[in-house]
Amino acid sequence: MFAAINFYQAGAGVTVPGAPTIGTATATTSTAATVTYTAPASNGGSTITLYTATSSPGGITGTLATAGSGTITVSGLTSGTSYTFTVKATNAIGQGAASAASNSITPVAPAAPGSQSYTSAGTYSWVAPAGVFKVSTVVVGTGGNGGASLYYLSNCCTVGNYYSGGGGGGGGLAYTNNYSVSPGTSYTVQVSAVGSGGANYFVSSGTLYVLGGTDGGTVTGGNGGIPGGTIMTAGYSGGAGGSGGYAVCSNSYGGGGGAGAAGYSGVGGAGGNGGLYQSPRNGSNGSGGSAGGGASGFDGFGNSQYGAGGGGVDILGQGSNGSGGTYPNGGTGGSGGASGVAVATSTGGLYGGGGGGAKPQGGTSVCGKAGALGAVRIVWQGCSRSFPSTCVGSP
Amino acid sequence: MNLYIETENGVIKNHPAFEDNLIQAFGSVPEHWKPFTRVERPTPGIYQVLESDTAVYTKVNDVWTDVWSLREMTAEEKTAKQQAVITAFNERKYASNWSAWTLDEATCSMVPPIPRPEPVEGKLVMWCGADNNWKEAPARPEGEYKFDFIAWAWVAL
Repeated sequence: MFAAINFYQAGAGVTVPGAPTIGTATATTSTAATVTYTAPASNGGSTITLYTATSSPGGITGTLATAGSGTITVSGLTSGTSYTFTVKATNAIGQGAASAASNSITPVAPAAPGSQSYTSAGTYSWVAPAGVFKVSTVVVGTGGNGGASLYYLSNCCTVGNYYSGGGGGGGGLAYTNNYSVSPGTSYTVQVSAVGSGGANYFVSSGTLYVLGGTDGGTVTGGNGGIPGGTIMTAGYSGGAGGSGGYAVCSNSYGGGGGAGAAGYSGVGGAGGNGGLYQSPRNGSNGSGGSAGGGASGFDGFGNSQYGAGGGGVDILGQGSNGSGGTYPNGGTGGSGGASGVAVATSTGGLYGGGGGGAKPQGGTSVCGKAGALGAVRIVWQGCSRSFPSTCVGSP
Repeated sequence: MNLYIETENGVIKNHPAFEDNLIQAFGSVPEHWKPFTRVERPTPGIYQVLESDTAVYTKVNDVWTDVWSLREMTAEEKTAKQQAVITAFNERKYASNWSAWTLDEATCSMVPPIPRPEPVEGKLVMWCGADNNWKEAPARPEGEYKFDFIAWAWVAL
């Protein structure tokens, strides 16, 4: 009976599908792989209903019920064994010819916990180690530089007269959890130079990124960095830099403070206060990051050359409150929090804080303090593999 | 930390990777990954221009490295930068007070004909155009005042 039907259909010009075009085989776990393929040019006159990938050796199969191109998962492989795969299409008439064999893959046991950190400016390749199939990544934006004060014109400063510089914006923070990677494959990582306004990212500028905080200007504070990307699990914007005081005379006001970078486990804090000198026109506070910013510092009373730097976050991306810096060393982004007058209970990390703005000093213009570096950290396995996490320590 | 960059038939691929990452990934540094020397983005000098924010990976003395396109300003660019500083200086309020100041080409900034005396705590010394010299300002009254350089006096806001 069935043979008769098949004979009738074949007689009407219907036959089995052609051979699919093999794509790429990828080991996704220690016992599984994916195989991509492209649908054959001919479905034999009948809609394709199923694709089957078969391993060699072992004849282990995986299927995908669809008519077009796709990705088939094959499970039950043996760790440490090399496999290739072929794919066949099936329609109402039957199963067609096999594709060419795929590339060879070797599923391996999961890697031990590990991490890779990037804290110097530059573009890098990160190669997924053997046995690493999923990673979590945190990206911290570079802090903006503090703005220059303006007593008179200077090569390092822009134009104006008797103004304090605004604080640099804090870098933002973005993270992703459980992003799939292929062992042996290169992924791009970028850490921008401080002051370049560039993005820090993982994979590409659109995949997981944070824009750096912008530099403080004449009086005005810089903007906080903004996170984004197609794989972002969550992100936090950096805080804006505080504004510098408007100066009536040469030594009037200290620079506005840099805002803190965002972190996800701290309490949002403000950037440092601008300095104050015999006037109510204090530089304004920078707004804190959405969580974990720099806390305000002070001591702008005639002595402070720079507004306080914004507190940054640590390499785990776990921000704590920063504390503001004071004369003469306070104001560098991030690290400024470590040397200043503590108005919070803990110091900020080294990354992402905005730089403090400068005040006119000694009758000259002064350039603001530099923002802090950004950072990218990739982790796999272990306790801090997922963000946010209260599990502190090496993954 | 040492960096290496992947090569294929003498042509580089992608970007440099850390040595420990390559050991994690491959067990050792593969033969076709070559040493790379990172050169950070330079900060242009007063009369220099960084033509691109991106370095070009180049083999220098048989080692791959970042090469940045930093160049000296042309004479026209240098003049335009200096002129912008002068113009902005002269557009300030009370600009006539500083008419004796001149451009210092070395620093591309406006400087006084007489160096500023060392600051003295509690004294506010500013440039007085009428005297063509530095001069101590009168004590500032309590409240909100601004300094009028022409009248050489504090005036209420």
